[in-house]
Amino acid sequence: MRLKRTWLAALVALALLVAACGPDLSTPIPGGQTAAPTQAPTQAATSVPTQGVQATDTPVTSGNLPVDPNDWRTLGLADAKVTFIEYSDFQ
Amino acid sequence: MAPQIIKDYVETGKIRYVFRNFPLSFHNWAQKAAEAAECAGEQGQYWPMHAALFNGQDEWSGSADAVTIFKGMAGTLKLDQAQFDSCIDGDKYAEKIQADAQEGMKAGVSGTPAFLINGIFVSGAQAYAAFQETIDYALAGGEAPSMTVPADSYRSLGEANAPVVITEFSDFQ
Repeated sequence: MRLKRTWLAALVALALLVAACGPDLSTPIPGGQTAAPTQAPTQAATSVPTQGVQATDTPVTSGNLPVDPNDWRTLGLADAKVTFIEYSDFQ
Repeated sequence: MAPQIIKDYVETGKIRYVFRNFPLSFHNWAQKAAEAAECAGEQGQYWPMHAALFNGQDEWSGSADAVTIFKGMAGTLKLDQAQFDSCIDGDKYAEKIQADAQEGMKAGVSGTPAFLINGIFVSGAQAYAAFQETIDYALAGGEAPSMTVPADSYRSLGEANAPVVITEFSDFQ
């Protein structure tokens, strides 16, 4: 009987341990993505080297802004290959 | 804008040049000067007023009443004086000018002059050769430098597919 109680206690302790270390399934993340890491820089550098931002074909520009073709502040052809925008003041 | 750029690139159809307002707060008449240009623009005389404002900068910049000088410029350009006066006195284009500035700030502009050449940011007054180099690069199909980060970069933090990428250029000293 005493041996049986010891085994039972051990099983309960094991079950609690597994539950504590397993993934939290109570708040699923949309798209199945993992939560944003909050680890310190050294952890990121050593443990998740493949988490860097993927290279992309989309260039990052400083703002290729639309231009109203009827804007009186433009010179040149509306369909010119290059649009040259100057931001300035008069003073 | 350097006249040489107009001659070499605008008049040859290679580029379209656009002027946008970015009146600096410490330039006390910059906002009204921009409004004067817009008020001339609605009468088809934007560029002549643009030139008159820059050429006459010494005359109005330190004036106690630059608006009166702007109205005089409108007269010299043979604009409809009543229309111009009503336009500038009524702040007709004030919001448009501020919208320009807001848009510029979003694009990274913080001072004048600043330039976007097919989206490639160029800050400050530059020699013709610097503009020429960037324009020719854009004409050849070049785009703004792509701030891509290698997938195996050990200098990045966060998700690889995050919608925003912040790249910091810095040194350690």
